[in-house]
Formats: sequence, C-alpha cells, structure tokens
Amino acid sequence: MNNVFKLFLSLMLAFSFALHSETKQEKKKRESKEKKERYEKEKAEIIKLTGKLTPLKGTTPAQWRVIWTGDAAREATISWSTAEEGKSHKVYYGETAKLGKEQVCQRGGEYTLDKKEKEKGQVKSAFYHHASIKDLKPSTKYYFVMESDGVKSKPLYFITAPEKGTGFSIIHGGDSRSGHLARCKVNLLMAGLMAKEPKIIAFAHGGDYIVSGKVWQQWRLWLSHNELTNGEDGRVLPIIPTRGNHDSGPLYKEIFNVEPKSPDWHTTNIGADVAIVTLDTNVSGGGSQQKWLEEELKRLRPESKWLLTQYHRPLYPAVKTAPAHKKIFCPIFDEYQVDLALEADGHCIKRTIPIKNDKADSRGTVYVGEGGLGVGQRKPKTDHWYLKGGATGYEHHVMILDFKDESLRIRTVLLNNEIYDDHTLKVRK
Amino acid sequence: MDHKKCQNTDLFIKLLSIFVFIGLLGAVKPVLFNDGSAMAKYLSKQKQLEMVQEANIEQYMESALFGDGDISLETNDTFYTTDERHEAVNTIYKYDFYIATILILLSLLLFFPKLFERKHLYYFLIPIALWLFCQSVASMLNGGKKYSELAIFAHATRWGLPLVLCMAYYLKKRGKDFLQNKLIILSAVLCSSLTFAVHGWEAFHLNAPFQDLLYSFFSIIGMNISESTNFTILKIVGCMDLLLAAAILIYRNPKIFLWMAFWGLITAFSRPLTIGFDAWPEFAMRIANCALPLGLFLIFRNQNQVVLEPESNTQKMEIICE
Repeated sequence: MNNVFKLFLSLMLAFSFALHSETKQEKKKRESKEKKERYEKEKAEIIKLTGKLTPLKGTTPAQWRVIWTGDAAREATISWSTAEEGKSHKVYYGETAKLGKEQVCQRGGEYTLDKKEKEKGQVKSAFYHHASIKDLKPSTKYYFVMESDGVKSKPLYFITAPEKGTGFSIIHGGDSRSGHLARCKVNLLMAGLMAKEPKIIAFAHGGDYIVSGKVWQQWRLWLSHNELTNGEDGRVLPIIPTRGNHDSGPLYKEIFNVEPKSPDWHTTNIGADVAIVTLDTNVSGGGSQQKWLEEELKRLRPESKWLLTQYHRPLYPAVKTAPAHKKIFCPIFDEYQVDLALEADGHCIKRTIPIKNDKADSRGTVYVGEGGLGVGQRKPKTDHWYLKGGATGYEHHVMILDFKDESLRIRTVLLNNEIYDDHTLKVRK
Repeated sequence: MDHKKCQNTDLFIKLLSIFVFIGLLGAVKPVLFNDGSAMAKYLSKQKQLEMVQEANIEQYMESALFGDGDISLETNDTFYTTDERHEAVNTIYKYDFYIATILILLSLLLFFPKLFERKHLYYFLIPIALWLFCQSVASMLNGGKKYSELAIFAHATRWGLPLVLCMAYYLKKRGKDFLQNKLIILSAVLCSSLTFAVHGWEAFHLNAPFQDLLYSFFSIIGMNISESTNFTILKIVGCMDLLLAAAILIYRNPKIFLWMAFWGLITAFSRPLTIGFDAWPEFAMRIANCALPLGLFLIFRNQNQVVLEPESNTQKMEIICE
C-alpha cells in the first residue's frame, strides 16, 4: 500500500512538473505572439503616419510651419521647404477660403548641410522659404496656400491671437529629439487636443527639436513630423520657437526665420494681455541678453496680465543641476514678477511651487515643463525643496496653458489624454 | 638632498592621491545622487533607440518622404514592451551605480598607501582612469554643449591624473626615482597642456558658460561689468591659457606650473562660488586641473633648468639638477 502511495505521489509530481513546463512554454509562445502582433500593429501605424505626410519632392511645398515671434495678433511668418530651389515662391492668404492677398517670400535659401553630410554626399539638402505677413486682423481665421513655381500646397489655415483679453490656450512642450514614433504620437496628441479644444491657438516649443542641430537629415524628419500637429481640417498651430542645447548650428535660424546675426531671444505678444519672453540658454545670460530681458520685463509687466518666460535649460531643475543663468535670470524674474516660466531639457514632468528670492513664496514664479515631446523620459529627483508641493513625473506629455482673466490653468496631458497634473495660478492683484 | 627628494616624493604621492579622491568624488556624485553618468546616459539612449527600432523607422520614413534608400519597413521579431524598455534602461543605471560605488570605495585605499608597498594594489587606479576617460568620450558623443567634441582633450587632466599616480606608485615600488621619470613628466605635461589649450580656446571664443561665470563673479564682489569688459577678460584669459599650454611643452619652469596650479584651482572654485554650493561636484571634478600642474611644480621646484635637445630624430629631455 505504501509503495502504491509512493508511486502515485511520484506520478503526480512528474505530471505536475510536465504540466508546469508545458505552461511555461505556452506562456513564452503566447508572449512572443503578443509581441509580434504589437510590432505588426506598430508597423502599420508607422506606415499610416508616414502616408499622412507630404513628401519633399520637386517644388511641392512641404514641411510648412507658421511662426510667431512678435505681435501674434497682427503678424506671422509662413515658412515651407521644397526639394528643388525653384524661382518663384509666394503665399496666398485671406480671411476666407477664396484667399485674395499674396506675399512673395522675403527670405529663402538652401538649408546648410553638416560637414559630414557634405563629405558623404548621401543626404540632399533642400530649400527654405519664409513669407512674413503683416497687418492681419486679431482673432481671425487666416486661410493660406503656398506656391512654389506654380505648384500649390493644400489649403491650410491658422488663427491669429486676440487683440486683448484672454480666453485662449497654448500648448507648451520641449525635447522632441530621439524617438521618432513617440514624437509622432505626441504630435498627433496635439492635433487631437486642438480639435477637441479649438481655443488652443499656438505651440510653444521649449527647444531640443532633434539630437544634433547641425544635421539636416535630423531636422528634415522633425519638420515633416510637424505636419502631424495639423488638424484634419487643415488647421496649423503656430510655433513659438526656443533654441535648445542640441539645436546648435545655422539650421535653427534657417528653419525659424531668424536673421543670421540676430540673437535667438524674442518676445511673442499673444494679444495685449499675455506676453511670452523667449530666452536663449545656449549663450551667456549676462551682458546683452540680461539687459534686453530687464528692459522687456520692465516694459511688459505693467501692461501684461500674464507674463511668461520660455527657455531651454531649467533654472529649478528636477533632473540636472541649474545653469549659471539662474543667478542672472531669477532675480530679474523676481523683480518683475514673472507668473510662469516654461522650461525643458530634463526629460520629465515638473511643476515647482511658487519661488521668489530662491525661497518658497506665494508671490513668486512657478517653473513648469522639462520636456516630453518624444525623448526618453528620466526619473526626476523629487527631494528638491521646490518640488515638494509641486508635481513631478516621467511620461511623454504636453502642457496646456489656459489663459483667463482671473486665472491661468496648467494641465499636463499624457499620450492617453489623461490629465497628469492640473494646477491653477491666480492673477496678481 | 636625498631626504629632500624623499620628502618631495611622499608629498607628490599624498597630494595626488587626495586630488584623485576628490576628483572621483565629484565625478561619481551625479551617479550616486542624480541622474547617472554621461556614459550611462549615452548607453541608455542607444539602448532605448535600439529597442524602439528607431533605425528601422527612420530608414522607412527617410525613403518614403525624401526618396532616400529602400522603402520597405523591415520586420523584426524582437519587439519590446514599454516595461521591458524601462527595465533595460534601469539595468544600465543600476550597473552605472554599482561601478561608481565600487570605484569610490576602491579609491579609499588611497588613504592607506602602505598597502601598496607590499602588493600591486594601486592597479585599481587604471580602471578609475579608464572610467573617467569613458565619461569624457560619452560627453563627446552625447553632445548638446558647445565644444563637446573636444571633451576628451578638455578632460585630459581628469583621466590623466590617476594614470600618473598609478605610474608613480609602480616606480616607487620598484625603488625608482619617479620624480625623474620621463614618462610621468611627459604624461602630466601633455594632459595639463591639452586641458589648458582647450579651455584657452573656449575662453578665447567667448564660451557662454565662461561669460556667465565672469558676470556672476563680478556681481558677487559688487561690480557689474559690461559685455565688452567681459569679452576682453575672456580673450586675455584665453590667450594666457593657450600660452601656458604651449609654454610647458617647451619650458619646464616651476613658476609656470605653480601659476597653472593656482589658476586651475581658481577656475575650479569659481563654479561653486558663482553657482552655489550645490555645484561642489563641478569644483571637485576640475581639481585635476590644479593637481597635475602642482605635481609638476613639485617635480621641478628643485631643478633650475630643463633643456630640450634633439637626439636621433627624437627630442630628449635633459634635466640638469641643481
């Protein structure tokens, strides 16, 4: 009896072992199948995404963008690329789909190739065209069609900023370098948000568009991917550009219509009540930039309900250490009571508590951002005093800034449309 | 004279040991308490891109949008979930942490030099030098900073210092007078010269962080300098650094080395002074810019003349002692 029992036990053990190993194999198989299915899905997604984009061929206008670096209620620059140089480049625009006005490009040229790109000769350059249009009407839908040597683009439109007041939103984000698929997904998220919330009128990019700013091969993909931020109805979200530490070289200026010898800092007035002062953390914060910043904030503070600054390297970082600019910029932000500072570079989600004189102060500036437009995310260091009571995270995201007369709401939206952080600032009395 | 020599030898080793420890402490601090080393950042970025099959996607899009290359999107059976990607990156940072911890623990041995008299334990300085060298290479590859392509040369003193110390221990164990050793002198001189040359070049070209250091420094002492003054100072500093870098290749004057050590210390200290105490690792990492010239000063302070003479197509350094 005892032997029979032992035999039974052994058989049971052997059976359970065989069953277990089979389950393991099955699990492996299932996982492998799932992975393959996911890859196939992703592959189909890439093919679909690419199919949506306009190829850079001949003189067909492609890689269009609307740039805001001044009075966003009355001015804009419409820019695009063509594969061939072409002779005649102009933009037709107007308040209706019939257009009616036209502007010949004031600036154009060939995108500069990197030394290695020139040597290898594998990458072809392309040509940029910038048409700056003025005397626009505030809060108006402007339709436009670009034309290069008789080849026209599809009809597109953008909305100008209001003359004064609030009631609109802008998207902020940074670091769209590395991670093409993730970048495309975030761009689609922006297009979706714009469709859902038509009050979104612009996109403030905090810099680091690509890994190596001197390489045209990288920029051209970013420029094409930017088309994914367009609405299904042809709506284009104007860009308020910032230069990041990876965006060195002449291409940044060629892409965003900055004169070769001009600095990369500028003020974008989104109506009379909101101003975004864009700074450049790649050059010295002192000297001429400091002087300009002081003058701009002094001029803008009395007339702006909401005063924002935008730059790449965070002054109150969640991941890295602060740059030397902190000692120069922060006292000026404090003096002129900047409401919100938009930052990038750290590859994470961040919102600080209000800070003044390097201390927690309810009258101070809130620093948000750190960039998640496609780049791999890093874990923020949450034990900084300025982050306790704020928010941190590490997922791809954009931030929506809702401007109202009495409040400024900052929502951090993830790829799945989930709101990760929702914070509201009250207007200064 | 022999007693003096012995004193010099000990002082040289002690000083360099302390500096290696401080320098390493500065380099491992970001790894232990912040986001990881330059090498981990580079490797994790590469791994992430590899795992999301960035190259495949890029190639496909390039061909579809710009007509470059094959249009097919390669099928790859290896697909990684987001969790797997995070795990791979975490593994890199985990090893980065382990390596940094091991190195800093090993460097504690520097405070027990008698251990090296019996065994070749000082060999651990080689992986330290190698690790620091790899960080410089990774800084260069990561980019994102002006002149990052010169990182290996700019950081020459950082990775050169443990190497020089290792050589000194090796020769000392063999009972040789390492203060007269040409290889040690040449290594220290070359590393110092490279670092000073790159910093001089950057200063001469008005590198933005240097401008900010000057603005902040002068504002601390209550002076607001103009942009043109800032540029003039940087040009002068740049010329001085370049001259020093060239001079030590020709002359072995202890006064020059002492000035370089002093200047290296000042420039390293300018970081925490202007940015704040949080930037102490910036100071610690740059302490090697002071350490190697100081070591050279100790070598040459009792020698009044050094002449370079060509011999059999090579330059032979003849040291004439007092």
